[in-house]
Amino acid sequence: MKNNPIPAAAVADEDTALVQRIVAGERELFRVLVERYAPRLYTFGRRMCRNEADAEDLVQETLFNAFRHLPEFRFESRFKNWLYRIAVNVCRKRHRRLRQAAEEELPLEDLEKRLPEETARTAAVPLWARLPLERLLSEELIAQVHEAIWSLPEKYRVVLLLRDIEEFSTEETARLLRLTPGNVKVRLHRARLYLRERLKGYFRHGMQGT
Amino acid sequence: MECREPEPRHCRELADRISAYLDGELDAAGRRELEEHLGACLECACCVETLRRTIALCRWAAPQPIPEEFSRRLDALLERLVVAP
Repeated sequence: MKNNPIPAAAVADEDTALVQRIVAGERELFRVLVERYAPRLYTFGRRMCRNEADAEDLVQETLFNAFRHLPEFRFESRFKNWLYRIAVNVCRKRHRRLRQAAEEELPLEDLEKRLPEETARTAAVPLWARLPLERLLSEELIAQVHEAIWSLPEKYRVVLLLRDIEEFSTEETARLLRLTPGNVKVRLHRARLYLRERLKGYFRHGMQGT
Repeated sequence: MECREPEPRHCRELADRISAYLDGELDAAGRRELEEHLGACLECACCVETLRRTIALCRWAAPQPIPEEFSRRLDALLERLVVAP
């Protein structure tokens, strides 16, 4: 690590002092950041890449790049945001060869138009929405949720993951992805509607006979 | 509880704001308008509830434990990183 002057942190959190110490020369402390973020990055990678080996590559490349570029981190955002920015870039590089698929639009305009009339056919809140969530959670359901997330085009999937799973705010997600907050909201809403439609069928089927 | 005055266009407009509502991103007036509508429109109330459940499901189904073998490889990578000059 270069011993450049460490800038004052504009945004401070539990990682700030740690990052400052690593940059100042205590390289072994990077281990703490890896323990803190590798599991989350791996989950993010599995949801983004689907393939286990790709997810592992994503984690390794993200952590490697983060370590290498840590002296360039200006503390203008949380470390976590900076780390996920790297992860998103790694992902995009990997997906570039599949850009055509990634740019695919969700046919959600139709779905949204259909929404009121479709729900009008529902006499009441469906059974699956009234059951305790624990009863619905099963290996099979978890697999279905993952499948539904993977089936989203990349530009919707990444927004959903950052907002609903990694719990970044709309503004943070917008900065991470270089989108407007409005774009983030639209993509998130469409992604959620799409997933709901995908999972609704499963629930109907899955709850038969219960 | 039924839609007193079914106005699909109005429902559609409000449906676009359901995610923002669930995320607490509507201003007070927008929230009030939607909540008043939800109190009167079972279809939209149903839409809110199912979307809320979908979000919760995604969140709870997400965690994926790191495989042991990969964990060992990460340790090795880390060793190389922090030890290298």
